Amino acid sequence: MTCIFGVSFLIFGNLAGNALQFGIYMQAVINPQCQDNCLKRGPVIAWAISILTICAVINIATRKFSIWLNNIFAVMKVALVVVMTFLGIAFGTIHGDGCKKIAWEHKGEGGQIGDVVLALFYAMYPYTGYEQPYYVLAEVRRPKTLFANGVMYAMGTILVLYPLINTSYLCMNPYTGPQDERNHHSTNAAIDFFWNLSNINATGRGNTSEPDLRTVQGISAMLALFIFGNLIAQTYTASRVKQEIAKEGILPKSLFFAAGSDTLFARWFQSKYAGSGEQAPMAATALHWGFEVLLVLIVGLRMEPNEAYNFLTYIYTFVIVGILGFLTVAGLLYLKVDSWLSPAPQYPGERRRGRRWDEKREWWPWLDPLPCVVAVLALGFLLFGAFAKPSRTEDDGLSWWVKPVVGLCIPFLGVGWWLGLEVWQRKGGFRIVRRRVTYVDAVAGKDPVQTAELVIIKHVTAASITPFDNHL
Amino acid sequence: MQSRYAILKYRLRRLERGSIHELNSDKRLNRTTPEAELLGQFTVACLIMNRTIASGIFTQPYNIVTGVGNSAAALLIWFVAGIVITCITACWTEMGLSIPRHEVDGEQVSTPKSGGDKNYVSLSSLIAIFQYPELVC
Repeated sequence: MTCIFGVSFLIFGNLAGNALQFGIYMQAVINPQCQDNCLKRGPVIAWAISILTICAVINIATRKFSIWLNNIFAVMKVALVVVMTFLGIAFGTIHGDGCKKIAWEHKGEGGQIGDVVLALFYAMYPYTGYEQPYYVLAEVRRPKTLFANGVMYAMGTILVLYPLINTSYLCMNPYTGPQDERNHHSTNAAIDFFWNLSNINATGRGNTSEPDLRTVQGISAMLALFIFGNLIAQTYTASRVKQEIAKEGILPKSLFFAAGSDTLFARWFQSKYAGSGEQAPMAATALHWGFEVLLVLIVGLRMEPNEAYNFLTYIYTFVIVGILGFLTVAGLLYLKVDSWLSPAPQYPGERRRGRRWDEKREWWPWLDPLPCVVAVLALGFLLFGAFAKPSRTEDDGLSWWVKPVVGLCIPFLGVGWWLGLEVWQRKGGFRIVRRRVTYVDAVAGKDPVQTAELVIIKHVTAASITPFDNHL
Repeated sequence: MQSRYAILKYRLRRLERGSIHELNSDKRLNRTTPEAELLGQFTVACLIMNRTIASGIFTQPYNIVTGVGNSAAALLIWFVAGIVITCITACWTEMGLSIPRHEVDGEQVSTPKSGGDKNYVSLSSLIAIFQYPELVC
């Protein structure tokens, strides 16, 4: 199981797709006339790799600065989305009756079960990112109180903002069916939005004149900046997940990749940062960067940039959110059912059967079992629904089933890896054991957190495994 | 609660600066983040929002409205997707705050750990539960 997660996450737990999108936006800044089909692969890939390198360097150089950048970007993004929402709705109400055109009336194609599943899938992708703080949970202050609330505030904000910004988008660009492309200058909502806004100010409604290139450039630069923020956050968290994977001892040179060390800044400015000694996983960051660049190169060279972006983001959502998410929530549901089925002991001394999750859990959501049931049903539905045929064909030339099949194959790479490790251990006549000794700091009035961890990974003969050792 | 943790007080004394202690070739001591640098509530929320709001929200609206062919249905899809993700988040919080558990002075306490679904998958996924029932805590 560790191998399945480890290998899937190692390869696809990064935002190579977004890095390509960064490249696409940078190209749009330089050459705004060029929309979708004239993009050159080379420069896009070059931009993608440079931005990934910058993020990786920031990540190992300083922890404080990347968190600071992350917070600044988050505030900017929320502010922009709020502004766009209000502008859009106000605009739709003032100029014409855009908002009133949002209706159940069916326009043009689409609406088959396959289309709806695909649409739900696409709609879930922009919401993913909820998993980030969990990846660095050991670095969170007072997880039991502050963390749970922080997560819920963020999710609440996004849950309100996203449907609203879509309302705003539809107010500005009433959907009138696929034939009528007049109001859609670009498939990108932000470009479309500001394009309309600037055109209306100049000439009035329904203008189909030449695009204002400066608007396109400005928006593209802004979106590229947003993706940069996004990549900073992902590099910060995902490199730490890779460190955790290495601690499981399933990689070659696990200990090397599992090491945390002082950031470059903490080393260079010993006096200024005295006593702080902020930590970053250097080798794991390199690993993260390596696989990201590899994906950018492989997929980016084979496909057109926009298709490569769609492909990579689909695979990320399917594997990391879909498959791994389904296994996780289904396991949780099992634990809940299990503790519900095994009642409390009737007489003293009787040992309660089952895994007693309800005694061990430390947090209860609203409407308790409901979120878990919804999550299992929804993710299960998506995994199977991904194979339903949509009525529209994608323009990337791949059959609709190719992407989910590729997605389903990824976890089997993990199984293959595990088999390989087994064979290697049998042949060598040893077992890989890992022991993680955790030093827990439990001070009165605070949640217990781990302060340090001793990771031991060694090869021993089968006879000398102790009960403390966790072998693969 | 407080007294319980007071009993569990366990200080790691000799953690020098520099943090990597190469004890020998198969051991390594990683120091976790010092207290003053732990992430606060605001940063946690920002981590989610910074990672979430990026290219997706601007590239997908068009895909979705053309996919379902109906603007009200598109809004509904957005709302449903949000609810689903919030439910998943609730599951993650439940797991993240509950496992792994460590024995400290004879008592089991939950000590949140980095790694996200790596821990949840390997400790509580459907496969792992049937494979090693005892692993779940």
